[in-house]
Amino acid sequence: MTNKELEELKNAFDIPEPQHKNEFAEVYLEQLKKNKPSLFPQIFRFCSAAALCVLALGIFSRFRDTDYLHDHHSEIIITDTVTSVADTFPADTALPITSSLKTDNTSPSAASSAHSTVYSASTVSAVSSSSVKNSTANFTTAAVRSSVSAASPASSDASAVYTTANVSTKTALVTSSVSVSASSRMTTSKITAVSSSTAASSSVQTTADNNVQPVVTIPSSSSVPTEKTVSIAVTPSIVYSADDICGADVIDNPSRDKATQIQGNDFNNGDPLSDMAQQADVILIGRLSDIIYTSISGNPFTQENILAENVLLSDGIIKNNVLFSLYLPGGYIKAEDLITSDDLDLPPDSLIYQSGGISGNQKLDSSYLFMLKKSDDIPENAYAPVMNSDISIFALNGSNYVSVADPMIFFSDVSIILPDQ
Amino acid sequence: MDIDVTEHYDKIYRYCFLRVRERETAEDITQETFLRFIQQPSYHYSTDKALRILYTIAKNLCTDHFRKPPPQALDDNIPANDNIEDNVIDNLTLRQALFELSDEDREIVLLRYINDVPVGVISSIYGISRFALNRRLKRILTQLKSSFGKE
Repeated sequence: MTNKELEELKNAFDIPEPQHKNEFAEVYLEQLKKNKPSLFPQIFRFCSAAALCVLALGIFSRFRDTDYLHDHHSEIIITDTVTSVADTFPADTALPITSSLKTDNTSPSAASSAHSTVYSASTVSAVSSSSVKNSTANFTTAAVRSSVSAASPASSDASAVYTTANVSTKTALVTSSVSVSASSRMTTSKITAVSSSTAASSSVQTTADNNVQPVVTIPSSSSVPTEKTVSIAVTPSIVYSADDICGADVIDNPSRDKATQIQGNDFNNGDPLSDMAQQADVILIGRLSDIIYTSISGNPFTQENILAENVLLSDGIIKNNVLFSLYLPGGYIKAEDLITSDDLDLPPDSLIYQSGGISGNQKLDSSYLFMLKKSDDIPENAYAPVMNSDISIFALNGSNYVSVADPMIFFSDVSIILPDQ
Repeated sequence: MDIDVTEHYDKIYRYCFLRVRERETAEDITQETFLRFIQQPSYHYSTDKALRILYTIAKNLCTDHFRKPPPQALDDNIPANDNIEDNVIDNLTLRQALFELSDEDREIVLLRYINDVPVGVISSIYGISRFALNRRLKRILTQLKSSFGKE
């Protein structure tokens, strides 16, 4: 419609002009000033809009997190695969080893109920344990410190083991144990080769991919041997009675007063378990049957007679049900027998206790895991602890073997991989 | 509030005059419309909504005016409702065409083309859709087209 037509239309309505427009405008403006608009509706509207936005965002985020629209059937399916080690052995590699695989399913939530399945790296050379002083064995310790994520599937790392016919070889394999929770069961073993032989001739190299070796898991330490006990315990020439212990003075061995000083000083690669396993000639679980205080060349020693219950690594002498002697440095000694650089003004008949770096936390008739070695400073047929300290003696505490000298050194499970016999 | 009283006073007045056909009454209703409008708690709304409120108030006041009893004496200066033809001096044909329209159609023409009220506001005042209002305006213009320029 054109302007002319609009003008015609406006005139056609014939509406007279208002007469009181300006007067009312003044009144209206005065009323408008008196009746100022309140900001409350605007604020209320703004706040309500903001709250609505926050609520919508919250619902949206919640909706996205819970994912109501999709995947209503996503459930975690837990499959428990139990692998029988015996089934994994090839028929032609059946080994004459009295070994058993122990799988503890008593308490899935506890750490002691680890499904320990070790895919072992093994040797194929037959080594007679009776004729060789240092028998060849692959020692596997389950170190707690190497934790494994429970979500990871079972895996096995192949490790090369070298053995020779002429040179005895000890190969310590540190195996991580796995604690299986009730919700996610899995087994993991990780094997790391620690040492190898020095002779290159007639060496046989095998890997875990080639041969599967049986795994001996240590049975409960409370098992009592039923066979006849054979004693090779040493009879000391000097025996001190610790009955008058109240009168004894304590003298710390200045050279090694604390067992914990061994840590970090004597370990080669910083892994105490691996180092001790390497240096050990005998590894066993035995029961402490007797404690005798004696001295050798003016130095106090504590002789512990141990009944071997489960020999894990043998030198050919120590077998199950063998009673043998372990010499620990330190103990009770008469003042007249003590040879020391210190000027001690003590009566000759007084009894002195020298710690020798031994914690003394062992108890009679208790079972421990010992890592022992031969030493020239002690009588023949007797053994000394690895590192010359009771740090290599482990007490079973719950599901862990804890060093009696250093509670920070512990492992959860022990398995020994034995060679062909 | 974005309503300019000097601008919208005339428009509301024309709307009221079209309905009541009395100048004083239309002016009273117009002023009453504005006074009621500023008493609204939400009179600071947008222009379209303010217009809608204004015209709704005016419409209701006009309706209330006809519900009241008729005045006893008529003002001589105010033309009667039935003698619109008598006040027409020129453009008789267009006035005749407007007279032939219904009251609501005349209001729609006034609001849309004289007062420039948006279509959305008019449609909301009369409770019809925008498309229906456009069709109605097109039909009204078709009737009035023949009367344009025939003074």
